[in-house]
Amino acid sequence: MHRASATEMQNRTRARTGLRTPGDALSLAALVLCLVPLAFVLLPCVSLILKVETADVLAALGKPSVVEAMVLSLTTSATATVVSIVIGTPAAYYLARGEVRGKRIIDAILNLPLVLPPVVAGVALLMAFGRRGLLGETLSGWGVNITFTTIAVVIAQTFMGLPLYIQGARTGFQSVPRSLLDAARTLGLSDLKTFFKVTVPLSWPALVSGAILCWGRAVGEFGATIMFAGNMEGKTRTMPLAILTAMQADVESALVLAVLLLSFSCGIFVLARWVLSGKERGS
Amino acid sequence: MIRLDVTKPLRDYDLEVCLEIGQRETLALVGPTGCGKTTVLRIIAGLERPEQGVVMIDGTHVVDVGSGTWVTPQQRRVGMVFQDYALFPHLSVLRNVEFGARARSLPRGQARTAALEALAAVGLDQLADVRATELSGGQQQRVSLARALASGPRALLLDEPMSALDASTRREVRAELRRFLEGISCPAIVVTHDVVDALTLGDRVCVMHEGKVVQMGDRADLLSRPRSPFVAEFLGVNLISGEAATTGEGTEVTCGDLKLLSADAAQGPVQVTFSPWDVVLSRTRPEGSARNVLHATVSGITHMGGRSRIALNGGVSIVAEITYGAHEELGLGLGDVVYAAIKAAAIHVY
Repeated sequence: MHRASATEMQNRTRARTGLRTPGDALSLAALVLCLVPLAFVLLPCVSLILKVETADVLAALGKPSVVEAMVLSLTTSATATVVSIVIGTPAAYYLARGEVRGKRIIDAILNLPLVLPPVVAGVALLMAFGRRGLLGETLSGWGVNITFTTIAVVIAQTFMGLPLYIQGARTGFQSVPRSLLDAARTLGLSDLKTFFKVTVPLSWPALVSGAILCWGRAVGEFGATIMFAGNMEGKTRTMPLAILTAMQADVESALVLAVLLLSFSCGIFVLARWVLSGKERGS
Repeated sequence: MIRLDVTKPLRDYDLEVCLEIGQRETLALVGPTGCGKTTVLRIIAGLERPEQGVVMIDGTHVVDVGSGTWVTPQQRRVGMVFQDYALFPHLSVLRNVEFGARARSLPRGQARTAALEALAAVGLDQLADVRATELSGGQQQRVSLARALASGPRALLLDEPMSALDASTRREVRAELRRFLEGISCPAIVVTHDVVDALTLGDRVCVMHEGKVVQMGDRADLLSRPRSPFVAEFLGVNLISGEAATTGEGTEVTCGDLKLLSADAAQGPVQVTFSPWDVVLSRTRPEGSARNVLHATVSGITHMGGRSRIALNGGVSIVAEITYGAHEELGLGLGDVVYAAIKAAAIHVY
């Protein structure tokens, strides 16, 4: 029995090291298997970049409408991220630590925006905050109209990005060993102090990467924004909406905008991966 | 002083414990994994609530379920050393210990002084600026002790302090910890599943089984008079004190009239352990060296399954465990005189 399992172990070790040896049949097979999805993802991105001249990008950066869309996208998405952090952190902490019934249902509801088609989310937001919406009716009674304003853009982006932040923060909070929190308590630290001096520093990478993913999602938000906030230049026309608008008249500048947005999203993605890998190296 | 009398339902049975620990006393709480001993510590620290009962520290109630008294763990001033030591990995050794001192709401400067003093007390002041995660297991244990100490605790609770250490460092760390516990002025409770740890660290030992205290007493009492087969089987070990000296053949430990030879290197005052089943009894003096042989009187006989546990007294008290067949053959009864030979390879020196 022992002999058999030892051989098995050896085989497994061989298989594992084999993957790392270039030229090995196994590693070649692995590469081929990855090739199809890899090409599928890379081809469109590369095609887009090849279509656009650097000079055109620089020229586009001089156009007020492009700059406006970029600034709007950046400010709204940053605001949405901050809002997500403020309202998402307590919820994430509760989901990570709380031992109360209904946790699974709360978790499922908070993740709903991840599977909800953005257009549906936009309509739903309209039904809630629109002039005749559930909450919107009361608000418009006070003279507050949210629909088709920059605030509506932020709401739509927060709606779509919040689950990503909560997921990241929750994972981070869960990774803090229980004994550290117990130790802090026996050492006389209040729960709030424990949170800021122990929990947050230790889950920092997960919090940051969750916030970055939320931000990325907010920047790319399209469906919910166009349904709920509309497409008004300077007010609600963010980058994705500007691309759609340009596509109908001026394909060239649509492509330039697309490249700008692509590089921005890639930047966010790389940043998130880097923050997370930093965590692995640290531990 | 700590007093507690609590009950709490656990998964498989109810925890029912009544204990009293004196001001300068160390109590070792020992029992198999899952017997509820860690829960006792957590109840004292305020990390868990008992269903019924009271906990008193220094004469005041910190828990009284009947009257609804509840002092939060933050206000109890109970130092706890966790099984994984629970050092804050993002902070330096000094900052970790300062956490303890700041808990007493000392101003920053005084907290630093107190932290440095506590670190010096465990001999780690040289490593103050090192990150807690870069230390060895034994060093982490000492930082954890210093941190608890710096908080000016009214009681010190240690949850399995030895279990995160590898076997090679255990012996040394155990001796250090023993010295540390002798030096502190508040009551201490050490929870362990290791019998040798319990017997060497505790002034008194409390054996727990399935949520209940099955026997409590000092070392000699427990080893020579186990009150139940469970205790006897669980302790399952002889432990005597002696003085070690190095000879050409190995380490010679003198324990009263008994001279023991062991392969373990040691010097000075030591503890010697060997299992009862490594003791061979005979009516006549065994041939060869006079070492590792005790001439003793049978002072107690307990039957457990197919084995007999025989307590012997010959200047030092030891216990032998032999098969019932061997017992019959020797025809041993109370007051009989026998020779007990201990196999040299089975003798461990701490």
